[in-house]
Amino acid sequence: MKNLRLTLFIALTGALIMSVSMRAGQTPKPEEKRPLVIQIGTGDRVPIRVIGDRYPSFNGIAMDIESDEVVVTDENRTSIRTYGSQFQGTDRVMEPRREIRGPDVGRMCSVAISPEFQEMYAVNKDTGDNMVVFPLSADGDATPSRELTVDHGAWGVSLDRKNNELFITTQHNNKLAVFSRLAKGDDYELRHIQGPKTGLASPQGVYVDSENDEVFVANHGHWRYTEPGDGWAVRGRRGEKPPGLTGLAPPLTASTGRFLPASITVYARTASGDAAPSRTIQGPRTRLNWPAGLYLDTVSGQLAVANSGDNTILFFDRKAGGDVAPVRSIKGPATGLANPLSLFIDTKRNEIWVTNYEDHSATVYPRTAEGNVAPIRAIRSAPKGSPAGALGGTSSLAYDPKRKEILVPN
Amino acid sequence: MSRTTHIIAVDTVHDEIVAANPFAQALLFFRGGATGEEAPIRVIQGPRTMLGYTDNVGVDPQHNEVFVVQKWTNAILVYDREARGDVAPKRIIHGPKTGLDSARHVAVDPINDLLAVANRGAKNILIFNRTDEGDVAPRAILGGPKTGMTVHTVDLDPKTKNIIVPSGARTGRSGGDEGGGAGFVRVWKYGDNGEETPPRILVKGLETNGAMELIPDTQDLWIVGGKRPDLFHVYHLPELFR
Repeated sequence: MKNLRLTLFIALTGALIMSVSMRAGQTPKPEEKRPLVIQIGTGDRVPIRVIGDRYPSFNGIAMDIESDEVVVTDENRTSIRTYGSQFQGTDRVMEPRREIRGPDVGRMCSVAISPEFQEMYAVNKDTGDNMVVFPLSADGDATPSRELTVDHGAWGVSLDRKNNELFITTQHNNKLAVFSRLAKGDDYELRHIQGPKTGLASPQGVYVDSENDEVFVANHGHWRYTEPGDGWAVRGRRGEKPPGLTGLAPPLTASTGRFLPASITVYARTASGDAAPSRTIQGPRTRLNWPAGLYLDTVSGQLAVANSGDNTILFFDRKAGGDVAPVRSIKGPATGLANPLSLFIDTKRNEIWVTNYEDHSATVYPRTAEGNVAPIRAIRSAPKGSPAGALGGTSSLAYDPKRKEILVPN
Repeated sequence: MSRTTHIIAVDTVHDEIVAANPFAQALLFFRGGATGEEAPIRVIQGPRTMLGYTDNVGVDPQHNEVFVVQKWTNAILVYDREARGDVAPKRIIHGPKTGLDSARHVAVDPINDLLAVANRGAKNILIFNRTDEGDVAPRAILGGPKTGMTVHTVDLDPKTKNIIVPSGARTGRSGGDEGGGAGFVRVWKYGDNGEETPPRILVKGLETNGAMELIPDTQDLWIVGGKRPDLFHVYHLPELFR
């Protein structure tokens, strides 16, 4: 009995101690306070100011020479616009012949067209991770004929009309991917150029020269070690883990990043894997500075480069390599060049077209223009002189209280 | 800078702008009044830095430190603010206890010695001590998968002890979404903890991609559009500054 009482006492005491200790260790339930709810759009909860750029800003450009139509991508208002290529020079705003807008048109950068198949191919920079294909006659809220998943951070596209292949660059993983023209959905590329020997470093514009079986790529020069097959962005969406990055705490490794001089790298058209360029235009004499769009003038044999970093168009001999000076350039205040991103050479009418991202314009020059030349004419999407926000895809803002300024990384 | 520079920081004490280059794996320090094609005054870059894909930065001007979260290796790296070149981090928060999962942004409160991390993969906010190091558990976790909250950035206000978290819909497949495209700002207080702890303030009905900035001088909230990231809306919201 004594033992039973002791056992009972110990049991009761233990239960009491356990009960007390449980209460002490328990996380208190959060107070059931309702948050102060501020519903935007009601009463005076409306914007006191709206800052933005209401005009289209042109990025990519392509042309159907036979039908006299120019196709431009508008990254600012997310549209693809078609204009007639022949018109009287004017400073007035031009209305497009057609405008594709809608949920399938995001922040499109480069565009290519196939006159043979009456299609356009527009690459979404980084908000859709896709390339959309529309008929050249598409207008309004059109549905793409097909859509292709591409790596996050794609930019350039060039159509090899002879071999029916699309070449697409991706900045984020230093890659040039080659797809069938008919690729769609999650189709994988036919081949790609990627790896430490390739010299690809934040690749942007691309041009495939199917006559000479070469492909040219413009590189900003921001480099990191990339394994062939590194497609982390697209792998993530497909549910595949990037190699070596499984688990919650993958090991930290030595950084590989470097700043390289901007370059144009040239490869055999059918090159694949960790292929070294057959030649590279790079060095101080080249004047390359954030090169973007590329286009080959098949008449002069010169490669035109939209050198967005210093508002110039540079021309190099097609066979150039090394630290070479451009054979000529279009540069100066009369040119109207303002962050030129893409270009197209119309060999039928001997004209060169350039999109100016920071001037709401596409300007036209004689094909052989040189120096500080004014454009022959321009397509304007805003009154001349309108400030261009060039806000791109803003992901954050920062406030500088000293200067009372908002900084917008872009 | 690169074509893709997502989150920058302003060092008001030393009048500097700090930006990351995710592709060259570098931290760049510019003069506060820098303009045009001006070179950075310092660069942190090199094998010993262990910098990977880095598109964010937080600055602590009081203790002379800069913080970056590593999206792919789930780590917080801390450097001397005045370091340059190929320097190793002075502290690293890294390991399974940390709960870091595709984190996107780190904010520092040098007065109350806190770090807040926008932990995008786990859809939560992790609060650490400013001087934490190694494989440490966060001292508080806010939000989480049950809340459906998307996180992009986080802000700490040392004066009000507010933790401010904007959420939104970023366009495109990779962007994520919350509430059918709607955007929110949630405000918790220091000391709040737990996934089910409701925010003290909930701003609803914003059309945003989740990028924002608070302007204390005018008690305004600047918010970036979701479908139109080139449009910024400014709201006068004094409640967020109390």
